[in-house]
Amino acid sequence: MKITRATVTKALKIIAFSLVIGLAVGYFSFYITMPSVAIPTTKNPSLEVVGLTLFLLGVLVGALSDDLESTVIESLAGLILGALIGYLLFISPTFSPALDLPFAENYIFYTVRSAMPVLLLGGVVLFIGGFLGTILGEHMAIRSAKSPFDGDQTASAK
Amino acid sequence: MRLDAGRVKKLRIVLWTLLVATVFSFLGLSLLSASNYYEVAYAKLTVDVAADVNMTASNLASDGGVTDGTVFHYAVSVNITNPSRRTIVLQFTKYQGILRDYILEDLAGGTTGASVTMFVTDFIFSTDNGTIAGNTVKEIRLSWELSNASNPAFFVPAKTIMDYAKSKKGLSWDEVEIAHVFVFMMKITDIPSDYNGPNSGYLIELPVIQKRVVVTQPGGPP
Repeated sequence: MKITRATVTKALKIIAFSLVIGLAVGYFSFYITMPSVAIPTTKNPSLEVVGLTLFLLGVLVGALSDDLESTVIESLAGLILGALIGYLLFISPTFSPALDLPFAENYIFYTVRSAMPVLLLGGVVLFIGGFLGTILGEHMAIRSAKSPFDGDQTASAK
Repeated sequence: MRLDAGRVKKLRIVLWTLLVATVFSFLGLSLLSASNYYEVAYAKLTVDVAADVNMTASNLASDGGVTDGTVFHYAVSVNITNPSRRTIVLQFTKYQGILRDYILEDLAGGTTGASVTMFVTDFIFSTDNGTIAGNTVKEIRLSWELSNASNPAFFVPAKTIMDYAKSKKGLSWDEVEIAHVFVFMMKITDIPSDYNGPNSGYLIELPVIQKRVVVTQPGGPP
């Protein structure tokens, strides 16, 4: 398989968008799990806000992604990265040698269980948002690869 | 609706700007949260408790004030009974630095999941002695019971602990050389419906997050 510049660019975009989604999902999973120490601090984390934000992020990423396939990959990879980032945030105090903290299994169980609503909700809204964003991008010809110049290029090729 | 080239370019700039702003926003929020989390878990508590550690016997007797002199040996622990779940976690929902009068506030606030809101209703004191690195340790353990009481506020007056330690346990503050602080940050996620305090037949599990600070010098963290 020949690796072209376009392929590399596409792969980098997928990685970058996955990281963006992962960062958001990770933060929100921590926010849901530990709302009293997350910023902004609250006692009652709002799943509606989380869902809406992830949806809008999905639309944004979908509009800027190359195609629907990329959007799906980014959403899936973002969810996995988000679970990892949320977990790292949750166990972050254990990295301090000054704290005498038990490790791992409780955190994994706790984080996965507590963050599950965000991961499930995030999966749904990211896919829907990404799909809509992809359609929007196609429709408005936002992407560089499918820009309004496409028509001109085709015409000149002929 | 296909936009002309100029508008597409502007729209792409706006969208990419939004994306970059999103990245920095979530990065910032995550780092701030982690920092705040750590601060709650250690730094702020250490500083505040270290300040609270300096208490003279006279001040203790009068108003629980914080000055200089004797190290106040202070420990907090939480015991919750529930053998079926190891994920019962009690979470500090707020920690304010008004340690002159209050040590902890609003300890057991919010809960998540299918849970019962638990609040602190009573305190149980006990003491223990031992040595750490050759230093005498006199430890006051403060624990509390949980129930379904409707009072969400949780205040532990420092003076309450001091009075207890002096009158009931006969501790001399001058004898205390090492201060310990045990704080369990936990979050109640699932409590059996028939739970009714420590005497309800459930046994203790817990430390999900245990913080332990050893203060060897008056007024300062280790």
